[in-house]
Amino acid sequence: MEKGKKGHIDHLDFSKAHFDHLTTDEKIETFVQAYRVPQKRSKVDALELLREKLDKKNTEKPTRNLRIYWSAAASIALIALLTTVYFYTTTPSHIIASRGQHIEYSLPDGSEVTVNAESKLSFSKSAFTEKRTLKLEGEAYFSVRKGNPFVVETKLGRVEVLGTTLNVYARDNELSVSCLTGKVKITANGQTVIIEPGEMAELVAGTLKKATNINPGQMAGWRSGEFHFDNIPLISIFEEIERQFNVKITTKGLENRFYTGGFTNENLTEALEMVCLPMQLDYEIKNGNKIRIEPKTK
Amino acid sequence: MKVLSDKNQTETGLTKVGFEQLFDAYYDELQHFIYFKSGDTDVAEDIVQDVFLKVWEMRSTVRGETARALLYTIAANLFSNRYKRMKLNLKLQQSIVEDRTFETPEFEMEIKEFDRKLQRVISELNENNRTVFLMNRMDQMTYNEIAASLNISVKAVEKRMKKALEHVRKEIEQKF
Repeated sequence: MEKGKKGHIDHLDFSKAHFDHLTTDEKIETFVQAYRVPQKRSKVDALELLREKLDKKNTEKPTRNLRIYWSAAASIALIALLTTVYFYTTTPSHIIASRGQHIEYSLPDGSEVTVNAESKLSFSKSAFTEKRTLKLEGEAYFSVRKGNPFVVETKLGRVEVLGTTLNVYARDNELSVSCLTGKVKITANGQTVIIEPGEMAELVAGTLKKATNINPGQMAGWRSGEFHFDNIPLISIFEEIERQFNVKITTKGLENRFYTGGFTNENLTEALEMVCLPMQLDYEIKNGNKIRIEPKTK
Repeated sequence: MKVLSDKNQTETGLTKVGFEQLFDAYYDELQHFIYFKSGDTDVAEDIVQDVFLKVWEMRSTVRGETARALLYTIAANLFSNRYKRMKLNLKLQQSIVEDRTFETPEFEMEIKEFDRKLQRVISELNENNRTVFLMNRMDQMTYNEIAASLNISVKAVEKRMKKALEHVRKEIEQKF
C-alpha cells in the first residue's frame, strides 16, 4: 500500500534559513511525513514465513471449521472473544518483563529462564524444540536442559551454551555473561571465548575479555532480589534501581564515579540509602516515583 | 479501495489467491499500526503474522468489504491482550537526516535534536491518539479510511487528531 510516498521531502529546501522560517506545525508536518517505520523483515520474507507456517499447520491438523459459530453471529464481539481464546491457547513468543517485574518461564524444551526487569526475550515457539535460539534485550538467567545447542543472541554478540546455568546481561553497549555451571561459548565482534564456572566474559571497548574468580552467586543475585556491583559506574546502579522499582531517577554530578556494593529490591528507600549513604549523596523522592540525586553539599 | 476481485472471493469466503492479495494490500499498514502502538518492530511483525494466520483459519467467513476492519480488529485485540504493559520508545527512521549534508554541524545537531524531541513527544501521546495521528500523517490514510479500519466514527478520528496535534505542538514549543 505505497501511496506515492514522501519523495518530495528529498527535494525540499533544507537550508537553515528555510527551516527557521517554518512554523511549529509546518516543522512537525515535515518531520512526521518523512518518518519511516523500521521493518526487520521485508514484506516478501514475511509472506514466505506465513506460507511456511500455514503449510506446517495444514500437515499437523485440519483447519477447524468455524462456520457453524459464524452463521450464528458474525459480530465483532465474537471476533474479540475468538482472539482472546486464541491468545490463551498459544504460547507467547515474547516474554517481556516490565519495570519492577521478574518473570519465571519454562521454555518448550523444559529449560527454565528468569527474565529481569525491563528485559525482553523472544523466540520462535514453533521452531524452538528443533533450533534452540533466543533473542535477549536486557538480562536473564538460564537453566538449560541438555540437548542440541542453546543459543542466546544479543545485539552485541552471541552466547552459546555448552552446559547448564548462566547469566546474560545485554543492555545498551554492555554485554556480560557469567557461567554458574557447565560451559558457555561467547562470540562477539569476531572474537570467541569459552568460560567455565566462576568465570565471566565481558565486552570492553569492543574487546571480549575473560575475568576469573567471579562469585557466581553474586552475578545472578538479582533473582533473589540482591544486586551486587563491583566497581560499576554509579549511573548504571541508578538505572538498575529505576528498572527494579519502576521509578524515574535524575542525577547530577555523578559522572565518572564508581560504586562497589549492592542493594536489595524490597524497599526503595532502603535501596537508595544503601547506595547514597556511603557515596555521600542526597536523594529526594517526589510523588513517590520521581527521584533526584546529587552529591551532598557541605 | 477494492482489494479482492470477485473471482477470488467465493460464496464461501477467501481463496488462497484472495488471501495473498489481502496480505499484499495490508501487510505494511498493519505492521505500521502495531508499531505505532508498541514502538517495537519484532512485536509488530509477529502480531501481523498471527493476524493473517487467524484470518486464514476463518477464511470461509471473510468478506471483501469488511476485511480491512477485521484485520485491524484482530491486530488491536492481539496487541492489547499480549502487551498491555509495554513501555513505548519509538525509533522511527527519519529520512530527512539520511544521506543529507547540512550547511553546518550546528544546524545538523539542531535538526537531530528536533527529531529526537519530536519522537519522544509522539511516544508520550496516549496510544489511541498517537496511532490515529501517525496513520494520517505518516501513512496518509484519510479520516474516512481510519474510521472504517478502526470501527470508530469520523468524529472520533477528528477528535483524536486534534488532541494529538495540540499536545505535540504545545510540547515542542515548550521544549524549544
